[in-house]
Amino acid sequence: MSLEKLLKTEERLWAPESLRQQANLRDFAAEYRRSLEDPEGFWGTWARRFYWEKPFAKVYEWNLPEHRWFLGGTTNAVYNALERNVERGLRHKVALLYLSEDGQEQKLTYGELLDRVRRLATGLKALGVGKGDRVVIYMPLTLEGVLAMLATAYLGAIHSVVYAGLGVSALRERILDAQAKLLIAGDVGFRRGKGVDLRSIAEEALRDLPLKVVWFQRAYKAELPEGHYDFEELLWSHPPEARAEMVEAEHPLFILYTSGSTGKPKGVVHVHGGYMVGTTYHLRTFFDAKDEDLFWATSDIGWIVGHSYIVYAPLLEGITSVLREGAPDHPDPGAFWQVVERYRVNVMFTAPTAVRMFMKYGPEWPKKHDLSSLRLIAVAGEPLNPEALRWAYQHLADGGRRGFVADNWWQTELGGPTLGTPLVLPAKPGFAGVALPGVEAEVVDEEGRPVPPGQGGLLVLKRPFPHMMRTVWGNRERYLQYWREVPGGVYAAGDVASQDEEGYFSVLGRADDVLNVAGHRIGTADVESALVSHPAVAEAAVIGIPDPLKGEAIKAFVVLRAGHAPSEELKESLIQHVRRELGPIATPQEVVFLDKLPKTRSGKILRRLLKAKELGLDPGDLSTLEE
Amino acid sequence: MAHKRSLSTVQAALRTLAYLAEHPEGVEVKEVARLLGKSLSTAYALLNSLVEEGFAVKGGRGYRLGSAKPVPPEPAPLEEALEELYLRTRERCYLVLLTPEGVRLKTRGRQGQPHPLGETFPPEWHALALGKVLLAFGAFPLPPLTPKTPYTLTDPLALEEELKRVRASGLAVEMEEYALGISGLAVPLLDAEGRLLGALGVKVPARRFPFAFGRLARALSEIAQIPPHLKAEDPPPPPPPSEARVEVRPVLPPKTLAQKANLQDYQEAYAASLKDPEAFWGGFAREFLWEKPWRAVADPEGRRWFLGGTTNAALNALDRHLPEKAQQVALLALDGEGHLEKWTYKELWEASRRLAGLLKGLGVQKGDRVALYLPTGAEAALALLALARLGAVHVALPVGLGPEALRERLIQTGAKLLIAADGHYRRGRLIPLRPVVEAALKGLGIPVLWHTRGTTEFLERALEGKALEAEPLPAHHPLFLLHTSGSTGRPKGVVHGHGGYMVGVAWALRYLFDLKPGEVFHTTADLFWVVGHSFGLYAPLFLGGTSLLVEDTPDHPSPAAFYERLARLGVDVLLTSPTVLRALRRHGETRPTALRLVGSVGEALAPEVWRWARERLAWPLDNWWQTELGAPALATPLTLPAKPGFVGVPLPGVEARVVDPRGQILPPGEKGHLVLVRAGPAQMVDLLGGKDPWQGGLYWTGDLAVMDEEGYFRILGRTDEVIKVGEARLGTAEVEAAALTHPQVAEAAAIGIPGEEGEEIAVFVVPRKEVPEELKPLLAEKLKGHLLRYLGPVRPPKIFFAESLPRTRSGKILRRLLKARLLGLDPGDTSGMEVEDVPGETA
Repeated sequence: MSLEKLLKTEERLWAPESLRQQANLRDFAAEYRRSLEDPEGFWGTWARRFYWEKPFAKVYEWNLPEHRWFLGGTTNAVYNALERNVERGLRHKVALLYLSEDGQEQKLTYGELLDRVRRLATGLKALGVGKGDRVVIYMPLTLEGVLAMLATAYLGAIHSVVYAGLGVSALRERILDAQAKLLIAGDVGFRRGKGVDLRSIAEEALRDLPLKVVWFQRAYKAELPEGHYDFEELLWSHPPEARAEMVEAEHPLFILYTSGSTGKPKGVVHVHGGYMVGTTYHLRTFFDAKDEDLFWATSDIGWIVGHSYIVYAPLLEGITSVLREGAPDHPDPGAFWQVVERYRVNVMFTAPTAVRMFMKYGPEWPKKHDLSSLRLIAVAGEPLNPEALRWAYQHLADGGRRGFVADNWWQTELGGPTLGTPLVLPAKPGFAGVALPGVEAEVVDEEGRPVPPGQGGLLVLKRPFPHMMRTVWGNRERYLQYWREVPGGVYAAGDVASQDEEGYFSVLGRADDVLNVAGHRIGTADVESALVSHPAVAEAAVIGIPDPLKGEAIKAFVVLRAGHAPSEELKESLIQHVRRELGPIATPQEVVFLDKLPKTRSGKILRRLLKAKELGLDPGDLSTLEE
Repeated sequence: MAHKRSLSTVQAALRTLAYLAEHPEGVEVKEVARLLGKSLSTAYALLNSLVEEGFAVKGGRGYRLGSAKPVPPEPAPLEEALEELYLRTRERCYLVLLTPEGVRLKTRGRQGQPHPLGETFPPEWHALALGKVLLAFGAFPLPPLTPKTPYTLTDPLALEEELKRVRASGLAVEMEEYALGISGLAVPLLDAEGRLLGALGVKVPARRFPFAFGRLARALSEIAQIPPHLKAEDPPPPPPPSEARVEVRPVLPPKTLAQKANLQDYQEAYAASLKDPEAFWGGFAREFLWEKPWRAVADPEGRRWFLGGTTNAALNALDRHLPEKAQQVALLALDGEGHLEKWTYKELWEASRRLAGLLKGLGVQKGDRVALYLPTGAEAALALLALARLGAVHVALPVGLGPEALRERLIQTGAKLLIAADGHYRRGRLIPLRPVVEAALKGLGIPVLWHTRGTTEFLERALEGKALEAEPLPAHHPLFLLHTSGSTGRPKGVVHGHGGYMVGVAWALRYLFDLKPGEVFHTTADLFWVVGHSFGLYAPLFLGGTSLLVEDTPDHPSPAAFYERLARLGVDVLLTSPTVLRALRRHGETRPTALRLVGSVGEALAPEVWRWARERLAWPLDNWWQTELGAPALATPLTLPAKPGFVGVPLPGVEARVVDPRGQILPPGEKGHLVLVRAGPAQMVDLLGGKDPWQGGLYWTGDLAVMDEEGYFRILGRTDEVIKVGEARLGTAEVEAAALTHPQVAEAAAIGIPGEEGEEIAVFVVPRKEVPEELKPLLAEKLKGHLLRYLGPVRPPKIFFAESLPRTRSGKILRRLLKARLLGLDPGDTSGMEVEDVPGETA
């Protein structure tokens, strides 16, 4: 790792002068200082832009790892996103612009969205959904998926969206962990012109669970058994009667599951008050969104980026948000740019894996289209390698003459951008950027001691911010672990990073056994248990190997049970098995059969060793190795 | 008056009793039916009445002879009459008895024995035929006249008229007045001294009423021993003296509406607009973008506006709003297939500036005239805006115009290009237009830019154009040319400009139609009429609002769909025509909408229709203007009391008078020519063909009007359609409004026809529901009496029944065609006529 070389980069990529002049946040340094010196005034002022039925008495109360915000205040994030905006004259402003993969568009105005959310909420209420109930949403990226989220939260119930690319066991596990009262599921998703069957996955995941299900049926209207309802019927058969349930600021808004190094996925809990305040702050200051912008986050509602920047923050700010179902390179590699040109997208938020894909197809694709409206391309999800940044700056931002590429780093747990390169500062290839307002980040060693600039260490956050997770659903202990991993009462992000003298952070990768495949966090344990659930597998170990497109790809090492012999068919069968269990994003790229796996004396599989071998690196301290 | 059970019934009863005596073990209903040769239900009814009277008892196995001695009970002749009526009619029958204990109601129907329905009548009992009989013949106080159905009579005068007729004919008729779908007849039951004993009535489903009417009326009159009296033999009662004519009561607008009105002080604004037009209009005009400010707001006569100023209507409709409204929906376009498109300001701006580029590439230049033959929709809106952007003059031609008329207009206007659709939707059907266009264009050499329905070709082509900035244009530079709808003869081409028109229509939308930021405006007028130009497209966009455009007819596929659409799309303010309102009223049922205001323009809004709209839709806002004027000239602003039947007062910038043919001002209350002294900034800048309405410093509207003491104007019809009966001069609208107050009238058209002594009034009436042939003379008599009450002492009008009225495509009644048909004359130019129209049937 040529860390030194990286950190000595002299390369500075600036946003054009005109953009910096018109940036929503011009004096970054002053803002940052104020955010740390006066968090009360800083966040309190921003929070007062919203509607509070009962104003909060106190901006924050920290008793780390506990932190609570806007105490005493009652509000509802969806009320703020819909009613508040309708009342201030945005009734006929387009809230959501939905594009299906084949280019069909559908627009919902704020007024219509409110009407539909009220109808659906009335319907959900009739099914018994109330404040605090969990509703699992397994929906493709559609307006109906967003409606399901908003209607649930409107009632004060808690949504837990499961990405519609996840498989049977992943879905079942999440339904069980959240103790969901209701599942809202789609029957089919579309990608690359083909339907993806979601119905059979959901049905299998539901087996024997006494759960009510609402089906969003796009392919055909099936005969539904008792306790199962049709989404559209539920929506349109109810009047727009429901009204927003005002909840305490700290009332959970949603649970979003993310993978960890240990077996079970963690249900990250975000709350109405702080999440609303924090995500919108960054939409305005980091993503530089203006009132009349068209904002396009290319993620999915199944991920935190989708929650924060397709749904909540843009709607809360009364901005028009684009959502598009389908792959970025379908029907052709210019598909994204076609959208930008046709709809005059102003700010785009995408993932490094997408940027690398565009890079692979070459600059002729964006060149074919008029991207003159595109001001800012934000990128997050995994480290953006320098080549990709330079390429994007050159070909998507016209070499800095028209726009800017803003790398940023955050996590499901953090709700919004945490490290990033704001528009007014230069981008440095290889660096995600600086700590954003409200964030106090540091690189430390395992004892919690700061490491000097230029050296690698663990990335920690020394203070909480409003949109940071409150707990792990049903697992307080796991939440506390985040704060106990590194001594000193700090939040350990689980990433390895380094910081340069100018305060820019370079995030290098995960410190634990978590893979980052195309921006999606996948626990090695998840894949391993999926493999072991196959009748032919005795033991399995999974590592990430570098992939030019996805960042990391999954490689599996498998020990077969007696009586099973390695074969190509078995390999394929294992891959399909994992795909079915966890969904396409967790599909192993390679499967290798071994006689046995390297283990520590305590029996833990040494993935480190497998990885070192694979990449030809020094495996490091092997003192605990069994043999 | 004796009321005997008819022999047949008594005989049947005797035979049954004899049979029961022979069969002490019991008799079943079917045996009795067989015995009598009657149906089961007749036998059942007879047996039940015998049981009730004690002659028979019902036991284990059917009926047996009653234990009571068969002594004849107290005769109940009235109840026998009910039974008799049932047996004759086999319909649901009613009997009202006036007892010392009060009103008692008995009913008899197919389902067995009579049972009391209740002691009292419903609150709306004046709507029942039975109730009308009681009111006509008994000494009952008038109940509160609350409506029950759209057909309920609520006007005391109309009700009195009706009761008079009941007294004269001895028969009361109820046509869905109490319950939709149910009609009935009733007759009084009188004793020998003529005192009211009760009433007898029968009701049937309204759909069977026309066929059953004669039979039922005969049965009723025979049983009640009242001779058939279907024709009023006496002439209608003499019309009351004119002081008894219905007075107009001003209606105050709802407080919430008035308090929030954008125009709080009409009087002040009106005075300011005339006293200091510079400040009044200039102040408002400064909200718009002007490349170069004007030297003077208007010339001394107020005919030319914003002299020296340069601007562009498209620039003000679109570009001006981009900073804060880029993502707001500017147009909601519902096409004939039911697809709803939402166009944001940014999208509309982008597409129209590229279309402008494309048009320029096709050779269209500033000042060129480009004709459009496009149905209402996004494509038409884009084309208008793109042409305005270029400084070209758009000439929208009504879709549906035949090849000859289309050709004539293309030649007359010297169109450089035609933008045409190859089809349009009408009542759900795609009607091809390509053959019409091709026939019209033969040999003209005018190129066509096609909009092919069902494809996005037109839009895609538009987007290929190079975006064009808006051309700065002098305020009076022509924006569009429109032909007047031709209700009165050959079409004229009216030309409107950019500057004054923009200021005038935007002012009207904000201060008359009271549009607030963030509201949806909808006009049912097609985009290719002046109402569509001004309020479907330009004014909502000038104000940064949202306008709903609908291609198909408003009530397609049903009136319910119309209400549903308004509710679902959240339409706040509607501008429509009396024709549409009358059609909706005729349909009856309404559904809730979020409408705040409903504007009506195109013809005089009759008071009955005004009241209906007020109760069922929203606060009505009548307004009067003409294609030449671009925007409303007379209207009732929200803060003033409305006088149904009167359109209202002159709006700011407008001075109106009623004058005699020489231009001498007439005193209030006298009928005369409506003229304008000043016409406001939205007036036309040029006229192609036809006589200039400005003569001798006055704008002659061609309308007959009267002004009251408070300065409210009432439009009575066209001056060239005035009916001179004896000494009186009646406007067509006057007669029609009177006819519309009758609950059976859905639409009416009045014309003057030559009679023995000068002119006579002929009224063509479209009844609300089908009227049975037998009832037509009766209804005609009813209507004559009704009209005379409103019109004063004139010769009774002639009444003709029709299924529909011929009208222009913009919805105005073509009276001259009715006249021509009636008198066998040449109807003249009918190119503006609605295609679907069927000639009226007369009675």
